[in-house]
Amino acid sequence: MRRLQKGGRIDRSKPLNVSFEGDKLPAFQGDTLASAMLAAGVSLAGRSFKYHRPRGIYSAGVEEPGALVHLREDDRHEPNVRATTAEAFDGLTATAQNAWPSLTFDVGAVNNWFSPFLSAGFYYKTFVGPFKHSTKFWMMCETFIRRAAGMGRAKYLADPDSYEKRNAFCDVLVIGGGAAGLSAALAAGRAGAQVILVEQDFELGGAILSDPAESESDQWLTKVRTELENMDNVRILIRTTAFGAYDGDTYGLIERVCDHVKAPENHQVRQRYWLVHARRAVMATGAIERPLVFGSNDKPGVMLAGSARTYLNRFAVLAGQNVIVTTNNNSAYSVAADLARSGATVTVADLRAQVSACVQQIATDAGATVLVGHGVLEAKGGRKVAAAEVVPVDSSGRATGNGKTLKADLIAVSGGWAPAVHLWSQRFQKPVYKEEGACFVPLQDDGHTLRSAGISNAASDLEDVISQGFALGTQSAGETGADGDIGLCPEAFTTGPFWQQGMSPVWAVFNTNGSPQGKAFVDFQHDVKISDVDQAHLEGYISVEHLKRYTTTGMATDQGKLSNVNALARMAELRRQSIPEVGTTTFRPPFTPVSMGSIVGQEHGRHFRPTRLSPIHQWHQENGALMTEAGAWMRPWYYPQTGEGLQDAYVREAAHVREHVGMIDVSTLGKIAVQGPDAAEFLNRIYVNGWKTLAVGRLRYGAMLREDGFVMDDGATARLGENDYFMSTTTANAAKVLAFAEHLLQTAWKDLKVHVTTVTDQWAAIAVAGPKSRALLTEVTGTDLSRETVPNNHFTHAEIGGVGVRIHRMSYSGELAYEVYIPAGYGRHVWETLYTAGSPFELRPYGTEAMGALRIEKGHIAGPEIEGRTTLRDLGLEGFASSKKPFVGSILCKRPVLEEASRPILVGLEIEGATGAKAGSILFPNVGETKGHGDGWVSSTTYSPALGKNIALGLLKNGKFRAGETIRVVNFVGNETLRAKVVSPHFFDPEGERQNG
Amino acid sequence: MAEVLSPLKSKCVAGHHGASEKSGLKMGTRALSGLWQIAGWDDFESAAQPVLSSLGLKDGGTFRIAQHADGATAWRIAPDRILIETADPNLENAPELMKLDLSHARSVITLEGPSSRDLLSQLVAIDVTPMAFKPGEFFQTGIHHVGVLIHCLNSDRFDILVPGTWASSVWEALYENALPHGVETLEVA
Repeated sequence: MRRLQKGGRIDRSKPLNVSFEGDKLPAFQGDTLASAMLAAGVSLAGRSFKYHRPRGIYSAGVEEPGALVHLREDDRHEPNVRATTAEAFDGLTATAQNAWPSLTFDVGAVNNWFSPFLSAGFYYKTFVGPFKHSTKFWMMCETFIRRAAGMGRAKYLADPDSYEKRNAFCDVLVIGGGAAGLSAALAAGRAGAQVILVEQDFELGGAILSDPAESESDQWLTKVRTELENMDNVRILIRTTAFGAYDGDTYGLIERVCDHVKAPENHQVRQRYWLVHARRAVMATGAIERPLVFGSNDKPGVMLAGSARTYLNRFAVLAGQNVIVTTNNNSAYSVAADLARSGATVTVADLRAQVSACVQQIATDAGATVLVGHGVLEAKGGRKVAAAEVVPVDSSGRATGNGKTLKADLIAVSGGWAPAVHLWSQRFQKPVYKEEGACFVPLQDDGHTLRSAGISNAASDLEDVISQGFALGTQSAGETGADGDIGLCPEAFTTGPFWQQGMSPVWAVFNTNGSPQGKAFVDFQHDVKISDVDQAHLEGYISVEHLKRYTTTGMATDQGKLSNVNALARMAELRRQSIPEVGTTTFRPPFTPVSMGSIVGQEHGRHFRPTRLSPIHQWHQENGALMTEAGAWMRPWYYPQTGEGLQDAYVREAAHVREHVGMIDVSTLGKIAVQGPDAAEFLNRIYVNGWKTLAVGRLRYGAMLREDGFVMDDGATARLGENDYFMSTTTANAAKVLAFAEHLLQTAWKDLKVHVTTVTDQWAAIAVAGPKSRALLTEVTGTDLSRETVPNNHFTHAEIGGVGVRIHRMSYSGELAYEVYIPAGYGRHVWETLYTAGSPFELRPYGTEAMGALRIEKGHIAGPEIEGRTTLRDLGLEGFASSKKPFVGSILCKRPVLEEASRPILVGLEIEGATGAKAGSILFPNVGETKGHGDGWVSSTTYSPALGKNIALGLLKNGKFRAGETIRVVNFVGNETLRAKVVSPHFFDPEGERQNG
Repeated sequence: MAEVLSPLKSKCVAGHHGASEKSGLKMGTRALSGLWQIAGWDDFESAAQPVLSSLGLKDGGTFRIAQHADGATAWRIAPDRILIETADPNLENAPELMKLDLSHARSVITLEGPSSRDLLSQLVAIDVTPMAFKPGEFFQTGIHHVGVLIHCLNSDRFDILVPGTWASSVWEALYENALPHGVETLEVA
């Protein structure tokens, strides 16, 4: 193996510093890691998945099964990278994977000795047995099995790079930048369509790049590329793979923006995920050469023939000096000729009984030897090919006589080509088999919006490739309304023969007894041998989908790229059926692996989901509040004083409210404007209680049910005007209530003239609670807030700091309390005004933890009680429900099961001892077993500063009749059992004297 | 009278961020002169027309095209709802036409620059290319899972109306995605 002094498309003036396993490689700009490895004579690139067999570089593209490496280091370390697609750059470091302690001496290679025992299904047959605890046993064994078998290892380090998502829309998406794709893009672009042309390689050209540089094909490529680059309506994306085709004419692309440099610089993203919405798509994805099956066909030094030509003509690397080219079709003759002209000794072993003289002449004119009716029975050598046993074969590939051993360091194989139909198959259905060419192709259907052209459609020659692409580009553009002058179709250039011409579907070489010589692989990536397919057949597998899963052939990242047809052909042969009768498996996205980072984009960490902030948020942060998540909101949890933790802080804050006055930011409450002449009727229907008598200036507590009769939400609604109401909901259910209301108005209640609009963002809200709250607000507003003027459930308008506000008299804490509603932009100003003015009243802010303690003391329900399983009766709210009108849920809440006397109902629990209960604990009687669901559960829990003990709210069966009973509170997660006395949920001020005062 | 505090005030600090030697776009905010929703029912068009006319607006526009007059812009956000930016529509609530003050409910993020459409395409699953999203048009869509209204003012200038409590998060999503383009943040005017 060596780098040629001339030729190729590399830039010899730009040497690169590239290493593999610590050894420096002679790389240049334009190389891949694989081409640099070959240039350096590296034959051993990795170890196989299961048997840890030595593997070399088998291909030059995305189908590579063996040269999978670790790329880069530290936090940019990336496993399972195909060396064949890794673009070389200065500073590239690569290491081998799945080998220990080293690539050359891999302990895991011992698996190869035991391979007769490690056939398909071995693990499941061996480790999952009919004995007790077999699942547990398997899970333990699986840990070790996965360590022994496997691929690369990821690192547990944060990815330092950023990724981007982008949406794009176009008339015509052209997938593939080879001759067909370029022709399609040219036609569509000339017609005036908006075109996106994507190519996974770092250069346009596709198979043209494997032709000798500066040949006729290059002139063709330059001309077409230049024209495309000058079209404003054509966007060309190189280094971009279309990995998925989805419903709705949507395609997923990955653009490797900075994978060809050591690290992204200047804030550039590493990769970009494109979601393309294309009205039409042209699939010009070419074809992948098929392997041939023979003994040790996975040995380093065995390579796809077309790839050997690619390394020669594109990267100026002669992959072998003594080359056996073995084929069943004509396409390999160009390979043989090019290799021979470059100085290699080449022998063509053609499996076919007859090969036309003109095809043979392509090779012989270049100095190669042609053996017709011969194939390679086995690759010989240790860690790399040293020779090939070549035998005469019959039309089925079976040896017909003694072979001869030919010295070889490269066996270039061509079993025909498999059109890359993956995207089409993902989108529509399984492809159809085409006898001519022995391959699967997309079904041609004009109704499809994704259609194939060129080699992916098994075009017969280059002229056909170009004309198919041009015609489909024209048609696709026309279907989108682009009908500009498309001019003439580009003329074809001279090229070698295609595989379909005279192909013989011989895919394997066997001994005279019909068995392969040694291990013969159909799937290199998963170490699936032909004997595994045979075994699956013997065990009764008749479906290709089952065969795939049992043997793992074609699974995971291979997705049938190399393994598909050979496995199917073997199965067909064993079942005495044709390949079309056996069928093919389903290709699934992604076509090639996609990084998690690109899927995630910027939506990680604190941008995993959007965050919602109160208009007063900054004040809380500036004044030392510890924040907590409440749904999407960030809320002040507590305001610690020096040395305080949560427990001390919230107890202090709650006690302060009971004694003086506190204020809390309740801007997070859901707020909905209910407007229209039928607003009262709307409220009457959606709430369980009546609303038609609510006067302007008053507000009322309401509860609403789901249609199935369970409680959905509660809150207070104020009547601002004749047809204008202000509904408040819980923080958690705001969106749900709004959507529910809108749904009803647009479906069941279209007769109502009502609009509901969220005004949560319009209003900041501050709850001022405590015995001094009236005095404080009176002082600040100069407004009469006396009990007589503003009794409970009334509101009034006032000014605070020059800002017009609305003050609602209502209490969540059980204290004398008000809610102040402020236009959001003035929220902080009003908060600060109150804070300053509140100093003489010892006003303190309090957080959600203290708020929870206060409401639990009062027995007010919240999210933990309105959790979807509780009814009005369960929560002691049945008295609110009107019997004089229907409301949402009014029928189904009467279901007998919801009215059973034994249902758990809301109770208070006084916890014995110094330890508080945990929410979610299960309630059991004081004696007896603690098994099953018990008698109920703890919903909310706190330490009550007012009572000086730990208390909780819970739902308890027959709770109404169990006051005074001692029960057990069992926390199975924490393995803790407490005792509690059942009491009324209204622990504090049950008569409401404080809040109504 | 106190000053209206923008939820974006802490974000809008003048400076250049992200890719150096690139200034793909400018991000800032502006105050709304006032934002009102008018909503009605079956006879909404006739009920709304006097209000629109009084503001100099021909009509309520379509779901894609905003209407603009001196001191007023109208976006039809639903068949029977129009959002109007104006100081005050001088309108009393009536049974057939309800008005709602949303002046504090939205913040405006302004985008301007050659990369502004690229940035939008990173976050919005609609076609924002010049042919599909022209000056005067608007979309109601989502950015970072938050419902927003994007108004195209000219070829590379956009207003994004965002619910105020989400504004900070949407700003950050835009900002982070804008860094590769080079972004200049503008101080609150």
